[in-house]
Amino acid sequence: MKINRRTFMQGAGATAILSSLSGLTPGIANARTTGAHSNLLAKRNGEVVYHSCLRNCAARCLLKFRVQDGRMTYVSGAEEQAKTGKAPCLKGQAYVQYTYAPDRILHPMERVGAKGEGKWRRISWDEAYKKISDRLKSVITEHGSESILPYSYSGNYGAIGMSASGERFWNRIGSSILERKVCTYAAYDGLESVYGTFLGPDPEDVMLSDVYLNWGHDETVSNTIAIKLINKARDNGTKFLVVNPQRTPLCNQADVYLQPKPSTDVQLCAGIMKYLVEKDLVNHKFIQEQSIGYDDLLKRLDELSYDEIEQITGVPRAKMFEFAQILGENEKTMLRMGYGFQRNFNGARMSRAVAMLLGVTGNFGKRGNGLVYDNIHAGAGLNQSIASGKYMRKNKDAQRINMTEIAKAIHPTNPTSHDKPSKPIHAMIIYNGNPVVVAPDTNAVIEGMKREDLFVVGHDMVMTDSLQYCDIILPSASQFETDDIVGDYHGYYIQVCQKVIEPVGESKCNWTFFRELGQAMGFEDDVFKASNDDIIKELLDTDSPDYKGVTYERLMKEKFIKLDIPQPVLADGKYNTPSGKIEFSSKLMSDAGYHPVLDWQLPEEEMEPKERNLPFRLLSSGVPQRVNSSFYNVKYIRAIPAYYVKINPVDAKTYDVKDNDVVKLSNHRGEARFVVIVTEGVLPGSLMTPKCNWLRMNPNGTEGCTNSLTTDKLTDMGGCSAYHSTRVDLAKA
Amino acid sequence: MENKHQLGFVFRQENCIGCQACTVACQIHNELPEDVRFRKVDRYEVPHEDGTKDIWLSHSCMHCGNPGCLMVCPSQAYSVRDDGLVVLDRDKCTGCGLCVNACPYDAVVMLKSDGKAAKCNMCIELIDQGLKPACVDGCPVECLDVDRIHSVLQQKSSASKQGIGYGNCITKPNMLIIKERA
Ligand code: SF4
Ligand code: SF4
Ligand code: SF4
Repeated sequence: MKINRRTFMQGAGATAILSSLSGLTPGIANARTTGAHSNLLAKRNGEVVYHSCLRNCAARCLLKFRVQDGRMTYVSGAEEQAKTGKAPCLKGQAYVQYTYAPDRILHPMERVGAKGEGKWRRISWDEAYKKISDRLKSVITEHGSESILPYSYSGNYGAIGMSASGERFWNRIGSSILERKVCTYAAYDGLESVYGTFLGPDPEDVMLSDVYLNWGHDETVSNTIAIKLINKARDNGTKFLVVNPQRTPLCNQADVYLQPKPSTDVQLCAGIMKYLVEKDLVNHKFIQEQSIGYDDLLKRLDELSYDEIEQITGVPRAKMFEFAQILGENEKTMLRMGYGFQRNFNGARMSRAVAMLLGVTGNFGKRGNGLVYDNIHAGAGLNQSIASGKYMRKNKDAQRINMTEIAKAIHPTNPTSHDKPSKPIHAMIIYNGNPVVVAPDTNAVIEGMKREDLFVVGHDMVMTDSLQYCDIILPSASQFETDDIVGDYHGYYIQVCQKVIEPVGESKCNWTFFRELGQAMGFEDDVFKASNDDIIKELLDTDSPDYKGVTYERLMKEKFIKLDIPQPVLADGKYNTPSGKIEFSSKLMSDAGYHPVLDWQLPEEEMEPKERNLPFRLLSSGVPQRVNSSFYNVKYIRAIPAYYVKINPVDAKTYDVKDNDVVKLSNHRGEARFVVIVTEGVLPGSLMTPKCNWLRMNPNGTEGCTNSLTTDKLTDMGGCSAYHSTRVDLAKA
Repeated sequence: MENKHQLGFVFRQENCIGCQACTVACQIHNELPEDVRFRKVDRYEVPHEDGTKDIWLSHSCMHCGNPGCLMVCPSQAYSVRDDGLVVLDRDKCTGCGLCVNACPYDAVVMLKSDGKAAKCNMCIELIDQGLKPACVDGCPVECLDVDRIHSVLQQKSSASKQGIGYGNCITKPNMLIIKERA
């Protein structure tokens, strides 16, 4: 033991660790160390560097890395950032394995052979820059700059890594504009139609709430670290209500869990509001003073009976009443709305209905009240416009391509965008993304990417399914190999991402790549000489009132700062809607062609008949061990299953399948094979498979993955993806 | 005789979300081969009101008071420390595999690399520093802990050696399940 401790204390971190000695020591004073592996502690020594997790997860853990001889050796959560805490989720804990993954691409390569054949030749960065800039210049001369398309989204959430770096280049060059709207946008419109905003209260105030209501969110997947706070609130008596068509882990722990059929949320909300009205559990004073259209809502609720609601949603009315009673009789409710359920053809309309629940109960004006959805204050308050070089764009009216419709935009013969013919794309640079398996309709994406007249460059850490179809591949540095800053989108934090190690191999971070490519293109603008630090200073040079008191020096010293946003939010009774009040009846909705109060239409009604009549609705959700298409190659994580399909016992019987059988799911877009899990976690008629899994890792055959099946039709409003509005057939494989 | 210093895992099963962060934290700390897990997380779908619900059990070696592994080991590779931890000294292991069968909790694995047994030693190198084991430190929802069994049993009326997928047996396991919410 002596020897252990001495070795241990040589590390720079000894003070921190000694101060956290727990009460366990005294009883084991005579313990023998037979079988101990003192060498396992060596990795915990070294210099401490702070970085934030940059995955597409609202939590945004602050991480502490140990570095020895230029190598990252160990990662833990930074316990001083109490919201995120000492234990990040397993993805955060595996960042050393992620960074030093044996399959990392270490040098640039050029395709030899046919597209997708997988034959490559090593080239230098200089050669790569020359080839890319020559090709981009000739494409611009021949077809115009709009025939160049960026493809990127959430592989790196850093303020520089995600936005500033690439955007400087795209704005300067005048490329087509990529609408990066996979996720939240339908609900923005839905929430704004009620409250005028989608920004919500401080989620740490859940400690003050009487009720925590989770609607369609899975904290296990993208906000694990919030669960410990929810648990503390529950230990203090906070009630926990959950709604989700897929039984997420927390659904099992709820006081009341409702499992509606997918996308029937409008009807379910109607049922809950009907009960609240009948039992007089609505807040009359609040409704009278702070809302319009309540009478229209009452009329609309009368149009639907409990029988119909029960039949459409599949939720037994007794359960629904129990749920509504808890919501109605408590004063403070924090509603956490998820990012998944609005990915449906009726996404905006469902989000609107959910938001109305807090309207009738008047859950505003007190801490512990309100709706948490996408708290992007921290990121949105940064001076992105300057950092991204928006002022450099000359063609402000350049064509816009929605990334969900990427397959349509790069279609070999008939490119379209927003249902209209679009200018053909002749060059594409992919970074922070993996369109082949992240975009819907994988087969169609591949068909487009295989075009011989489409020049594709891919900048990534590992050989993704998308890089397979590139002309030139560039090794990307991980987020830990560069400096950045980032805001979370759950709470209100801005945090540092300090360079932990030098780039591995010949890899370059996003900004180095785009800066040098800009120079190769001959751009002499000063903005292409800036360092990461210069950009961070520009980002923090902001007029946003949220950033009062936040300086570069302070952030670098403190590592994380909680923005000072006055609480409670929406306390003054003024809403940013046309009427200035909460709108139970909305012109925004009727102008968009929907019912102004509650719209009953279900996604099936919008599907083409050949899909509508398939037996199963396919939910493709995130899973805790992956995020989008990341972590599929990471040691310890890659062995955890991600190619399964959950099926209800009733359906399993009908189709004669059991646990561990391999089945084929299919529709007119494609097919894919998955391993069966029989569980009541999904309802009869619904299936669930993890989203964004890779083609080449599918152990059941590489002909398909989840997105081989999903629809690329957009949501009702906001131009968001609608993955869950997909139907499939099932057969034993 | 009862060991007042006996350490054991204390698990709030009602809060476990089955994420496997504990499993991966253990693999990372112990630098285990990818297919070897000292800590496993099992899902149980159990009857509940009008349907079923999922409950997870995160488990590893139970550091038994009457360890089956130790009893059968002909090479005396197993020993019990003063704090009750059942530790395996791999240097002494000859790879006979008797302990694998003697353990009722599926806690011992044979490593392919050297043909010897391996199991959770409760990260004794961390325990000896007054720290918590890697799995405990790695649980993001804080439902896994290590503590003295004796004092937990005294302080928490709900603490028991019974949970879903887990029960007391003749080896006298030392994991406690606590329930704070009805
Ligand atoms: S890390 Fe915690 S919550 Fe996750 S499986 Fe392990 S014990 Fe359960
Ligand atoms: S759980 Fe198994 S390996 Fe651990 S002490 Fe008990 S018998 Fe031995
Ligand atoms: S105590 Fe250590 S070895 Fe045992 S399961 Fe936890 S981390 Fe693994």
